[in-house]
Amino acid sequence: MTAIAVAGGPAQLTSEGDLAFVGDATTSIRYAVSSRRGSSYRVSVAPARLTAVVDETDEGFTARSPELNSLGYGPDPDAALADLTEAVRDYLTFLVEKRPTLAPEVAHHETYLDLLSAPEASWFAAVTIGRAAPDAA
Amino acid sequence: MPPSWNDYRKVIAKNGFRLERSGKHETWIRYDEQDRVTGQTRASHGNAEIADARFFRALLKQCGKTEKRFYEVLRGK
Repeated sequence: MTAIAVAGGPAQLTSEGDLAFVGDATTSIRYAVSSRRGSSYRVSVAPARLTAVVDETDEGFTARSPELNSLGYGPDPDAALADLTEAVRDYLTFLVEKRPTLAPEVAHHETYLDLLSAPEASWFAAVTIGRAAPDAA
Repeated sequence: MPPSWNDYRKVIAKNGFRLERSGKHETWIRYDEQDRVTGQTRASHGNAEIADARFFRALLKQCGKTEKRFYEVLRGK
């Protein structure tokens, strides 16, 4: 039997029956396997995660994160996503190191700073294949 | 003829972007008149052409420029 316990932050059930975290603190999820010897591990999940939209271009692929307006590019979708991850890391690192004032239209970018302390593989909650960019700007 | 990365740098530098980090790529940050961050973009090192037109349009969208305005700024208008 596997028991799942959530610790580290308040949570509530949504109308769809999903468990949703409340607040903006980093939340830990503990997966505990109930057995005689037992085992458990802890996973840190950043409270705010990004989405990535991958588009095919003339010679490769772009990957963009609408939340931060970050952009990556590469010869294939994986390379574009890796480049996007690097772009996000560079931008968030700049925000952490320089602590600049954010204009109101990008003030929400601050909520993503905790990503830097989470595994990069967990940064994107969803990756979608978007439509190709229009021919005319 | 496709724009080059130097063209891109020239245009974004005229539009409030400053070079803030230089790693695998350059990270440029856009500031408003109150010195508040309003956006970001990246540029490749060197001066290669941005040959992929759709990628170029994605860059334009990121930095908030139309293609027409990009070339106007590049020509100093």
